[in-house]
Amino acid sequence: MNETTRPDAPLLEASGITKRFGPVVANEDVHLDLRAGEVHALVGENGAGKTTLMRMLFGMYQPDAGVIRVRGEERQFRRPQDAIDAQIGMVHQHFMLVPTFTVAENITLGAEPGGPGLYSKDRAKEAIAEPMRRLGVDIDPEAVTGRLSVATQQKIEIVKVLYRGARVLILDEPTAVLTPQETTELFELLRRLAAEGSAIVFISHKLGEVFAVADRITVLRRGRTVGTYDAAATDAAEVVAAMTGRSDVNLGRVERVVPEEQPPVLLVDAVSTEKPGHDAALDQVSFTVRAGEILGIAGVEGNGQTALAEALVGTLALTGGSVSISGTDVGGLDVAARRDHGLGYVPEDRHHEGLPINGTVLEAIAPCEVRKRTGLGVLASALSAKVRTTATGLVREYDIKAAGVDAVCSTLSGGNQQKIVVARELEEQPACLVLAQPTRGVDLGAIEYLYGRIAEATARGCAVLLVSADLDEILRLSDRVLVMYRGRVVAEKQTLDTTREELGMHMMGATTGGAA
Amino acid sequence: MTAAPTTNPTEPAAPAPAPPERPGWRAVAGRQAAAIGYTVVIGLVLASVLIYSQGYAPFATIQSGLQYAVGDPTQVARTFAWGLPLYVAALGVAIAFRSGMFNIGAEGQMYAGALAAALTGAYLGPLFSPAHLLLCTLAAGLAGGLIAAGLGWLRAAWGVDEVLSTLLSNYIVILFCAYLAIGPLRDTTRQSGTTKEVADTARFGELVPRSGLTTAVFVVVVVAIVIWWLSERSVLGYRWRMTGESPAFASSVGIDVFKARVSSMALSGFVCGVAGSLLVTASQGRFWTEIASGIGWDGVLIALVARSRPVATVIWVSVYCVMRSAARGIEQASEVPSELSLVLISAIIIAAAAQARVFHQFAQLRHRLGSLRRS
Repeated sequence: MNETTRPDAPLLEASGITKRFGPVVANEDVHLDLRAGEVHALVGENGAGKTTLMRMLFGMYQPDAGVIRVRGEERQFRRPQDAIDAQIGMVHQHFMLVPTFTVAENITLGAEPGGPGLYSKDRAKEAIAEPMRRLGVDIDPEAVTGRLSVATQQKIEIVKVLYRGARVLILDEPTAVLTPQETTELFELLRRLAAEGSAIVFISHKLGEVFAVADRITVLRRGRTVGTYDAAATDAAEVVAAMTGRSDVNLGRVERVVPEEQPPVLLVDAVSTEKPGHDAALDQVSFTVRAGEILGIAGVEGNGQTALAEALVGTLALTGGSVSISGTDVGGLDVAARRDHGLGYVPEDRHHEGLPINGTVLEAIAPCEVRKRTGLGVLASALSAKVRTTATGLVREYDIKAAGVDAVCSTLSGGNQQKIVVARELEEQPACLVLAQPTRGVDLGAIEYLYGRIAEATARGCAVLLVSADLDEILRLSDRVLVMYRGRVVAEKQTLDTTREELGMHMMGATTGGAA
Repeated sequence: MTAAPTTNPTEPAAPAPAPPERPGWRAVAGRQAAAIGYTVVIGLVLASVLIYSQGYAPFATIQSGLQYAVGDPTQVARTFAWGLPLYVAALGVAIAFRSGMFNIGAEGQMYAGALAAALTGAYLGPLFSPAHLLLCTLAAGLAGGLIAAGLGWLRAAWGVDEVLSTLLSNYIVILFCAYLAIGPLRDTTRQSGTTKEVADTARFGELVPRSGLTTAVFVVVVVAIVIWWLSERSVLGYRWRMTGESPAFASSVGIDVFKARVSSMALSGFVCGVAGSLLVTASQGRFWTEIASGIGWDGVLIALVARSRPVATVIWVSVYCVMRSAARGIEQASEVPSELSLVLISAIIIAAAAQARVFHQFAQLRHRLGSLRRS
């Protein structure tokens, strides 16, 4: 940075920041400077140290070395309140709102205009008018927060931060829960805030969004600053190269030959379920997936995609309709029997469902072999020499970075953990593979590798159902895409004939005649 | 305005920290030894304070206590003869813990097993002794297993919390057995509260004269080895462990979580029932209303302290036997009242339960000091 050309010091500057957790160096000699009036994207792969850096800027961690300056003055943040006093605000990935409170109550909670704990409806309403105006939104202060849409709740979070006087806003992956249209709207709000002199840190790993909103981009890799780039003077390829340390990462569509007129493998007919605790109930969902085809399921999270994956694999019971794989009705079978009929499943929550997180790599790969043991076979050794050989082979074949098959899964990176799950599922050569958020929390290099393996599986005739909240993933990988809204399929499109915007419209509930 | 990238993107970055190696058995054994050593030291210090406060010389008194516990082969045999049912009960509880089921109904299952064994021993036979013993043991296992399996089924099918149901089952089972022993099954030739004495063919023979240590010790060894294999090595044990550690993983890869929960509870109850049968066939020769005297509870405690690993469970039971026997010896040598011995043992168990955490914190501290030195 050439500071001497600008007489005004940056609004916020982190210099030479180092942070260690035991033997792990999360940040080493990291630099970041924020100027008034800019949107500054902070990008990097998982584990690059973005969150650690932000937590230090917000006083949640204290750096081991380095200084933080606010308008050129050195400051120490011992707790988040110190950062708030320095006009820094953070919008967390998971909203910190009380669903049963009104909007005004949530915004003023802990900083009530009448003094601590003294809440007056009228004074609160008055006090939040100014931050709402700054952001350019108009939300009913009396509305109950839990009934509002996710995008509105996010705006409330931002107003909450503005109400506390923030001039520096840190947003941690704010678009993960939004449709493309809502994302565009958020970006307009962020630009508006920047234009009136705030500085905004936008943490993301979606490069399209980064280039759409950011003035400058700082890239972290393995805890170090790779560099800061002017968005106008760089391109996605350069940023990806900086993030991954590789110059040959493909971010475009995964090329593969899609065979014509293959027989259908997965037949889903009018499937309905009860409402599971974490998602919408399925309502008359029907579709087919042909051999060698990849069908994408798009939608804002919580519209039945998780329920669909669970209903297919058998952890959520059907209340109506039927599911068949290669001509066999599996709707009434348990998970093991469905797997025996050729179903593979990569669950969305790797740590809870994909792997035994405190178990070993060997234990994570063993299930396929173990599932086939019945009768007295259950008394024999589970992690036999045969299982060990298979596991060792897969670790080598998929280039899984682990100390060996006896390494504990929790010590592996997200990408390596996911490689284990995918390796295990593909090892059985399933006729149909259900992928739920297959690359969430996986670094770009590993994503490319996993896409390659999935493409290989389709080449030998595997039917793939790809459930993903990431539209880029759907557009890169799938042949056809269904959009789900409130447990129903509202649209069906050929991937090559559709756009993000069109899918985004359907994600908000617009139906078409093409829906099943 | 734009800074040049500080590193060349194609340059390999610093290597990620190597994942910690999986500890070999030596490291595990070392840690167990350290944990036990720590517990023994805490026990000795507490005992010294107690004994000193009663006006005795701590060192000499503790020495005579240990003399009583492990002073000569007969004393060793006596110490461990008392512990035989405890080994089995603690291992039984550990099986259920391993699949995430808290079977704290071990005491009740021991009573049920003891009563079943006593009835089979008294009303069946006399038979060929090994066959009679086998029948008694199986009957006891069945009694305990059915109770635990039923409670496991309630949990797996209807979500009835097994902590609550197994805890309460103790009262139902123990009091029902007491009713039978006082009422319909009472041995009329004796005072109230005992059943008929079992036939001689339903008793294990003594191995060391005048020690109470019987050939049941071989049964215990076999039970321990079988349980170790089942829970740590077999396919069945894999299913139990995955169900206990990551139930969502287990169900998504096709492990029948329902079956795993019920079967591990059934086996846990079976083994606790067998532990109860040993009270009859290897020691008392009949059922009476307070026959298990808390051994089932001790088993729950030890399985917790040993974190339900079979090998650690066996080691901790051995340590517990010596401690308990030494406390008795101290009581005799010093007139330190037995209530205080109980206080002492309880304090030691709390210390043992705490030690895992304590050592964890020590390890973390050392780690941080190490990383400071490196920087």
